[in-house]
Amino acid sequence: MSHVSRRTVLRSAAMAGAALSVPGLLTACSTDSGGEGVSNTGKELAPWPTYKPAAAAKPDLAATAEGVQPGYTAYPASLTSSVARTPGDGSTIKVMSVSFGTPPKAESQNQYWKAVEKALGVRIEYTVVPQTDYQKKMATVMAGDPDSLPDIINMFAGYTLPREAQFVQKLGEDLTVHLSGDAIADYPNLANLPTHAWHDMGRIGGRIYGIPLERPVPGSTLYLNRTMFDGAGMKEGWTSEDFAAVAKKATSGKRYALGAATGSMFGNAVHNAAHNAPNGWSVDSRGTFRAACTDDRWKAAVAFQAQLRKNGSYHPDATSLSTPDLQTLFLNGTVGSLQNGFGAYTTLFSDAEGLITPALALPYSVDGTPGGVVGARRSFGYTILKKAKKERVQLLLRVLDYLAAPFGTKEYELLHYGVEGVHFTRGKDGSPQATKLGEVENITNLPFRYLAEGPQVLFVPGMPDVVRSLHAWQRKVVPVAIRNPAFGLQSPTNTAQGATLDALLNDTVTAVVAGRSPLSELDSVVKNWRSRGGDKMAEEYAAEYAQNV
Amino acid sequence: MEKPKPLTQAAKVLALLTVVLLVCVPFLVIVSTSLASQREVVAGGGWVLWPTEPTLQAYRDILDGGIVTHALGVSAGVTLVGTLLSLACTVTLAYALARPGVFGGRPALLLILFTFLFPPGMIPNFLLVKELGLLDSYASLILPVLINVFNLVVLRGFFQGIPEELYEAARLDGAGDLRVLWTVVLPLSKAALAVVGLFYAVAYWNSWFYASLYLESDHWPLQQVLRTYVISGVSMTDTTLGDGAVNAPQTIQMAVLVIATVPILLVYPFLQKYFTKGVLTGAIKS
Repeated sequence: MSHVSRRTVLRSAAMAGAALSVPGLLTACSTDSGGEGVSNTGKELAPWPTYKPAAAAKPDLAATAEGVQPGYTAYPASLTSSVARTPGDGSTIKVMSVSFGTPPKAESQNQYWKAVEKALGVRIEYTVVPQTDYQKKMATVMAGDPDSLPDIINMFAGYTLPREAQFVQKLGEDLTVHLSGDAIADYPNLANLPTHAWHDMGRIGGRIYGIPLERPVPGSTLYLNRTMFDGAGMKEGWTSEDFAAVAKKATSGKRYALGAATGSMFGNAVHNAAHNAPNGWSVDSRGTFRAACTDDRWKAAVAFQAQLRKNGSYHPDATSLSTPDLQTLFLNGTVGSLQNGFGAYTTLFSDAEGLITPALALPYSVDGTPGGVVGARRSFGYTILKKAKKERVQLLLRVLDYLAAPFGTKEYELLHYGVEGVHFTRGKDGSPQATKLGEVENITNLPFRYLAEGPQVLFVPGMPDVVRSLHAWQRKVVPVAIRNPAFGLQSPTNTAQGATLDALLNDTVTAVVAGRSPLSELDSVVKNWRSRGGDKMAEEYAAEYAQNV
Repeated sequence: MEKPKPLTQAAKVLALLTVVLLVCVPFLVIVSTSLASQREVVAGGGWVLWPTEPTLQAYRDILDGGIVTHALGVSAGVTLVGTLLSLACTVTLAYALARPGVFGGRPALLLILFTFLFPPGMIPNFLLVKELGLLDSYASLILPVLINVFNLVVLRGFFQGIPEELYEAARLDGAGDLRVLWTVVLPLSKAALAVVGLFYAVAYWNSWFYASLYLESDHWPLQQVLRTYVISGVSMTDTTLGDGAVNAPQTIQMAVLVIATVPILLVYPFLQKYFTKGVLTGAIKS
């Protein structure tokens, strides 16, 4: 037989490896790192689009300037039109977005898809990307040639993509001329997107490249089993001591007051906020950025959580439970609380019917200082367009303008509920209720909402009391929401190393709360975090912030 | 033979029963949970050993709409065509590399082993598929993985183990290479072919990753479609974005497991007898 020695193989491999690595080395040495080009520092900044609220259906519970969402206890009786004419010209557009649903039925068999195409006046080729595949899919999209890019691409904020800003700047259409200042008036539904959403999306190189997906103020939220916590003595205006006492009292046998999912650091975000620690970063009046982990209140929050764990208030599997398993334990009463995004209310209250009564926790005070809540990034991501001729860009923007129709319009109803009689019927209160077909053909599985969406409102079909309680809760917590001032700012160091550095901190926090490491371990890891890039990030954010103020 | 003592006998039965339970109970739990109502599953903390009111609702939810049934057809087609093509290519290449004195055999083997040690990454694979014009075609799930080097090495080893005298006898009877392969080598290699065929079939059946990169969703195979039922919203843990994690009910996740596992489980019993013999023989012959 032909004999291949190990040495021969290794020698060949080493030579080939060296050859392959040369282009990579050259790239690494290139001066085109892109950090300067995408930074807003030293650039003339395009003005944000002028906000012009749409004349939407009057809410039953009013919005506030601070950011409390408008609440609708019933579906609007009469719907208005927000788009004057069909936006498309019969051409085909390719779109791509993240998806949290199951794959849509093919266009030829999908009545929802066809109905939206008819309304938009275009044929749509939709590439849906499951959110867990998003990073990999985007890597291939970014590596492909520019001509094969989809016309509309959703840039999901859930992941930091390597060189994302550079990609957008190089291959995305600069939308400044179409959207900046009063130019956005040509697209009334996009002009209805509040400035905070544009701000948290951010500029690239001083220009506007995308359209944000607006989100409400509250971020990570502590959902409680009201019966369990009321029974243990929960009261409004509670202190951290009260919280610990209630959690201890509510825990007995195989029932635990506090649940947490893997990766959440025992639900660290809400305790951080209650301790008034910064949400990622803080900035002082001189524009100096400080990381949350360098703040004593951050350390105090971790110490408080470690004490709660020592008290036995956490479910013993709090570091390993998956989110679905935790939710099951919450619904069957095994755990009395869980941390989730505020948006979880859309399904949680209906899932809990007949099982438990969920409630949103108010923050406790610490040493006499009222606690805060986590402020979300006001943009869930943004949508960019492939470079194209002016007329084509205008067409695509008209399509996105249609998709951004606000609640209470005919366009919103078509996009979110489908065709009446086919995908939904009316409930007693007039709210759309999905038919069997509507459960398969809908905006979850064909996720137009991640291309553009009108500002979100509080509305839970058939549950007016839930809407009232959510609105009342928001009125109390929105004023104390702690915002991350780094949202919308560019930091090349964060893009390159942010995920690694975050993991370094998060693993240590989890270990300290779990009792595997002493509290003093936090000091050394913070020192490490700062020297490996944290301090550089602070400088980069400060420079960007000075330009944006 | 001495009759075992009753105590030893009982201990053996107990040990075997424990092993059987350890293997069977998880399967039972999966099937039971898929047949239970979501409410019963929640009450049971996520699992049901025996559903009190069995329902096929989870299966109806998955199979309604035709997406899963279409994907099932795609997976079956890709598995069948892919396995046949892979076997044909692997067998012919393994045969060529197994025969002494084939022109270029040694460098070819080196190159093949090189791809085994240093497989291309995701992006080079994607660019290759794109340049070949295979994006959004089922061929993209088959051609880039047509020959698996491990399977090739196993078959090559097996072919080399066939006595040289048989080759010589066939040659003396005037047989060419293809006839030797078809009438001598392959009939003697049924065990190895069955195993390698099973490896290929299982790999094609389970393949999901590249489908999400190369294909549009209306062409996805079963595993990629079913995966979306399981992962929808699961890892959206960065809740500072404000949206909450939304999860498919546990009943649906378990029904997905059943649908994804059963077809390949049905194949195993027919091929298992070849399994140990085929792999071990191919692996150790020089």
